Amino acid sequence: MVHKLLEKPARAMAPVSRALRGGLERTREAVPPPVRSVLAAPGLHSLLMAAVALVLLVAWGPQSYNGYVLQLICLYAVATLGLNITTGYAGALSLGQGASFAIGAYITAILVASHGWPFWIAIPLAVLGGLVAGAAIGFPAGRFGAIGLAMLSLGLMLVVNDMLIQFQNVTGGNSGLSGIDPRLWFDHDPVETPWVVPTVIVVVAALCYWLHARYRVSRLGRSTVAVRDEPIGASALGISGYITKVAGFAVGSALGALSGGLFAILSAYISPDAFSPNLSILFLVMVVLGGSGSRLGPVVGAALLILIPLRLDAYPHLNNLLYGLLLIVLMRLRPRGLFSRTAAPAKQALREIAGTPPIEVPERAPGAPILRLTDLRRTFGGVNALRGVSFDLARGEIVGLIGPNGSGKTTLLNVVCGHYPPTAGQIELDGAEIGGQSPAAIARRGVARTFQTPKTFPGMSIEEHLALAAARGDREPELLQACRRGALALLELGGFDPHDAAAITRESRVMSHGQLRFLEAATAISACPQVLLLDEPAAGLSASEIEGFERVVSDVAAAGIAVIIVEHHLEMISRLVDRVVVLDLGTLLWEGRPEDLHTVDAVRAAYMGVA
Amino acid sequence: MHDFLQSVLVPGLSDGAIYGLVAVGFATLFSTTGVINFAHGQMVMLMPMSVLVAMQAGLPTWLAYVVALVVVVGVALTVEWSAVRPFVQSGQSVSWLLSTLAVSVILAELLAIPYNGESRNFKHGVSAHRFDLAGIAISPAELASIAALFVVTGLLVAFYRYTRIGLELRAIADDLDGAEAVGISRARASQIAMTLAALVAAVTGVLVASTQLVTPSLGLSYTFYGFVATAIGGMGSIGGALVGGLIVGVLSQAIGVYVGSLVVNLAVFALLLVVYVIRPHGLFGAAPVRAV
Repeated sequence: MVHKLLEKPARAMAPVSRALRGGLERTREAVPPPVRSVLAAPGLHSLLMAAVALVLLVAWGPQSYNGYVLQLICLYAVATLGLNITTGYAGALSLGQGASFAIGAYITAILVASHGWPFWIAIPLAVLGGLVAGAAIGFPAGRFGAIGLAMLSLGLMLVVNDMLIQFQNVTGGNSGLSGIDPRLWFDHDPVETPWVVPTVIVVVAALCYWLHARYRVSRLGRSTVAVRDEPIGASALGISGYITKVAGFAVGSALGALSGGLFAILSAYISPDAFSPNLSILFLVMVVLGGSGSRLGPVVGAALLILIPLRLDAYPHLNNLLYGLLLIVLMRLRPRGLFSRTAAPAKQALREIAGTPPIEVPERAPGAPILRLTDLRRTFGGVNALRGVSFDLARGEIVGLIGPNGSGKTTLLNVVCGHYPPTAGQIELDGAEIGGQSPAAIARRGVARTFQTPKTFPGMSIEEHLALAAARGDREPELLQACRRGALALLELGGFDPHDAAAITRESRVMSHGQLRFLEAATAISACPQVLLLDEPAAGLSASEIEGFERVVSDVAAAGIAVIIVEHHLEMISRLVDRVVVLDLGTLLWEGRPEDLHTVDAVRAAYMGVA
Repeated sequence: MHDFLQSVLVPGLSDGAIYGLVAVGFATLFSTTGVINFAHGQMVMLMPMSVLVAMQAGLPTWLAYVVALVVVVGVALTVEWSAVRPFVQSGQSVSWLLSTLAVSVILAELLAIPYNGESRNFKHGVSAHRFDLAGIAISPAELASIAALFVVTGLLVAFYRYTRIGLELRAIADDLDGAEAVGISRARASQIAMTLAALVAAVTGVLVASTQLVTPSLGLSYTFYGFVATAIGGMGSIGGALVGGLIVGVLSQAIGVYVGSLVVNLAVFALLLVVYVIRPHGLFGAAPVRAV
């Protein structure tokens, strides 16, 4: 029970951090919204950072010790920002950022020192080298979990260190490479002014900050974070995880190499000593201390972990011990770092939803079949979860899927969504066979779903959830409007006011189970699917919430969406659905109108336990 | 053929036994807690270093071993408390990867203090003096490594299968909440698993020191090689760790002899890539049946 002791400081700190946060919040509120959004823009941050750094450089002189430390912070920040893309955004723990850094440094050094190339050509090539190395690790590793990635990157680091010695006629072996002078053209003399290198370093660092923030709000970056938070939920929104991990590795490694290239130019001499395994760990501690996945964190982490160790240089061993202890304490007390917010702005999707005018809801009238299951089978080892289920679903129809626990309801949804390929049988969506496709591919064809336990994205805000789902392709305007109204109604049921900026930018990790349920359903509906699959949506909701939920489902069905709803709440089923399908032990026991359900003996025996 | 036996197979199997023992250490902790201890390689180096330091302080050999064992288990329990227990079966791999990595950094730094990180000769283990066995020169230390791998593996398998505590550890591994509900303590299970892993590390450490110089910075390499063995065998499988270790040992020895010692890491790295691409769950690991 000693470990309780460690938790206490965290609790003792809570009022302080709450007061701080409250103060920040009030300050933020006092600023008028247009100014606020300008102040939050990453472009402005970059400009400010560059300006401050350049002013400091002018004050200290580019070749002073302080100026050197400042440049060191800037170039380490570049590698740290890169690692934040790999580890913070993509969630792939990389122990190989030091390797990318070394690759970049050596490519630059070899081209500049040994071949007399200008640095502005050598560094981009170094970046390319880092990109290729990152992609090479990411391609096989993208399919595996955090552990595999960590180990592969650790291996890369060991290999790179060996190669630096192995190819000593190129890399200079243990004695390293010297004479890495900044030239502006092939074989020219090095530039004379001491300002070129510092300016390049500061400007590149500022650009990287901006790029790193843009990456996060790009479609790819948003998908990357969604996959990090909840890969299955992301696949249900049509996002495939593989490419996001590979991209995260490649881009992160490219920035690591860029940082290494700058380091080579700044130091003018490099040797393998500068690239020990501890360097990778240092980058990692910088990211984690600053706040993995946050926007400002990596820069702050890099600055702190350059400045503090310089004060401790007099005491050997102390620095590494300090990193280690810091990391342990962080993981125990503040695992998300100093800047723990990982959500990013995404106004567009929510603005469209909130701005959708109310619509006239037409009568519900099921149309042509959209989803056809034929003799669908699925086995898990020796268990026959589905033993030949066939039924149709029409546009605008709501089918209630019921049956005792273990009857195969959720398995049916999982097979239709592609989480498990069917063992046998066909699944036709709008005439095309989709059995065996990936969940993301099926979702992109217009199948949306919710899960028994909501699979939302803890590190993303409400507006970001909706931005992830924002309907792609061309949907009929009426359908789109109906979906947006449905999503809006669900958000309001969940207690989210779309006009309250604080509420909709809150990360979903702090929300209650019921709120997440509505958020997940709103996300699924706002994707404007052809087929909507709901897995026990009423579980844990109050009577009035269920009523509101029913109305939304009924309205989107009226607009033409086909719905399958798995539910144990029989009253809800009988009020809402057009047709009931009863599963028992993986077979279709009965299908028919909900009002006839209670008269069928077989259903009563299987489901309600009465003969 | 004789050359192959002498210069590849025998040293390869002996090195492989070490990697296998590291992998068994991983599996022991992982199978109960779901945590892979990145500091395990450092724990391996901690044992011979502690013996050396204790002997330098003037202790007789047997007492130095006792002290070293106490140090290793003490450190292991501290690590368990600070870096493992909070993340037992939590599924948040990034948290424990970082916390055990942090332990690895700290231990590596502490190990570098006594002799300024330089390699030391260790004369208090099993003899490395080779003798002739059916035409092949082999040392007691090499034989002991291979024997230790099989004995340790056998003991652990029997422990998990036939003792009540072993069953409880497996219950924790299968369903943490369920096991706690029937009165099995998560903290105690994680302590036991860590102690077992530390004992395996201690045995490994003595064998490492008997066959080569004690180099404190080698901890991270042992972690990596042991992990490759784990990846080949399958996560959490003790038998798989045994086979995986021997494969890695023979392969790295063969590459070292026929190609060059600086390519060994590259070859092992390539092996890890190949394993991941072909059999991501290892030879003896099973892919999860249900993911959703």
